[in-house]
Amino acid sequence: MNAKRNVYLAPYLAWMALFIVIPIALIVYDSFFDIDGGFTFGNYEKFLTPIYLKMTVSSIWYAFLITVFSLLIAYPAAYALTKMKHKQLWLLLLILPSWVNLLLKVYAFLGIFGTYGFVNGALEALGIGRQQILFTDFSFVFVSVYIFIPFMILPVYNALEDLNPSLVFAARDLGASGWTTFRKVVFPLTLDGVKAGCQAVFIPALSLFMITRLVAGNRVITLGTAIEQHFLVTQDWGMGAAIAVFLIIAMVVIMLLTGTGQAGRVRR
Amino acid sequence: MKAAKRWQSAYLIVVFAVLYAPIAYMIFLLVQQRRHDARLRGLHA
Amino acid sequence: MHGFEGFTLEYYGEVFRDGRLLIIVLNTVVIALLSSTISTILGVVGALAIMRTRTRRSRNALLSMNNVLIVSPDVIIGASLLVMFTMAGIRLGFTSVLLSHIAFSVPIVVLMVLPKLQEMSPTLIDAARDLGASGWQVLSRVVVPFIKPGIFAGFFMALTYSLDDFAVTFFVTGNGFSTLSVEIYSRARQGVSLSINALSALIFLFTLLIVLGYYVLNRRSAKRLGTGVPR
Repeated sequence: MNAKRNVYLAPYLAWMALFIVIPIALIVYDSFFDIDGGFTFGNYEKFLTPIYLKMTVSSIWYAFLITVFSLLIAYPAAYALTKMKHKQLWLLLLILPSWVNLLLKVYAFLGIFGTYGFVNGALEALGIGRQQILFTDFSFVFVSVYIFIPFMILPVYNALEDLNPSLVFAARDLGASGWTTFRKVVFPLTLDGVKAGCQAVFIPALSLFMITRLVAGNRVITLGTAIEQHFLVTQDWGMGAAIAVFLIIAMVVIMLLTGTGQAGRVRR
Repeated sequence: MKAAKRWQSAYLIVVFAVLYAPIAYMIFLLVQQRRHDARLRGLHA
Repeated sequence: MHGFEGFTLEYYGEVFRDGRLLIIVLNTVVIALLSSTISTILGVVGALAIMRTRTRRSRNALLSMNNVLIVSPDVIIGASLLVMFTMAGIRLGFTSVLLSHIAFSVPIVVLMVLPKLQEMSPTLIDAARDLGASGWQVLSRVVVPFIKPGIFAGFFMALTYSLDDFAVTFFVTGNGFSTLSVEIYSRARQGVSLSINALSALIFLFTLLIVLGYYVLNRRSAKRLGTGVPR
């Protein structure tokens, strides 16, 4: 095996060139052409105008909110999971919903949050009255967090499981309070899991477009909806490609910041 | 210690209840096609 | 509970009378089976290629390339493949969707197969060679049976990702060809129709069946190998 040539390398490299290198190179190439096919830097100039910058900032803000809420909900859940008796069963239950088609879950939320849905029925019964829930920022962030939660819980859970419990006992024996132990021992030691989870949530949250369209209507514009709009509606591929290049750069930056942890692919 | 454990379980149950809400809703739809139909007509009216 | 008039299978009948819908269901299943089969083969080849690299650096390079498609947002994969297919003159439709699904499934299969390959002791291969097995025999009689659980896991992951994919397919599907996710999306955008609910329920049951099949198969292969690791 050692002296043999690596016969598997050629087909694999060919596949990677065809489906990873060339497509990304073509996106970069395309971003330098305007809608009529002339060479231009105009797409990037346009990207730096207030309209696009505002959209980018709001997209990053929403992605940030989604990541923070996911983490706030996921960390205690992951912590509680490690303390449970039937861990394997709970984990299975956690993963199971992610096998259900994403569109179905989002579609179910359309019914749950609708004017005559469950939530509004409950609100009316409580005497608060029917509210507009669908097509608001709240519903967008809620559904997004819902989708991403398992991808945040899993890496944090794994990090917590790897934590040596004697370190926690040692801290408690030395007189640290529960909060201090968490802040100085538990959290720093599970930081890798948190980073992996944030990476798995933040990048897809920047590029959501299906959830945005269905749940937020046209209220929220993310980088994902902008790319989809340019490629499939206005047919201005150059501009779409320029935004995509920005998204790729953002992705690389986040990966460098959080490390290339294999957080797993998130479907959306 | 016991109280903490109870809180943890309660929290997990809430999280998992929300996690399964849309799926429960789908199953609910399975058996109540007609009623849902009428309600959604109202939604889009 | 007003308005509830009892159980009815009427809308399920509607789903099956809807010829267009039947074709779409068929498209989705054919694409999923074909793409996961092809990407499983490619993924095993890829994992073997990564295993056989000599230096740590080239292995890491290959692995991070592999990870690019896993971390890339669907929108980027969809848009870049759309650009490539248009330039290459591939008509948008069955072929483009199939190729895209293979593209995003291969890295997943690689990641599922690789740990199994790493688990395998090299002495196993040396022993087979000493006993006079040819390269092909070593692969088919020793390596593949050993990494079978990984291959199965990869195949099922690819299958569910393909069945589930919306964003990438939406970009490369063109007119006239549609998969279930894309169809639900466009119907849901037009307002909620009756048949979607029945359709959703059908997909839901189908997914459950696949998950069940996966666990049964996994259980069985795990038992045979004597490793009770449920994954």
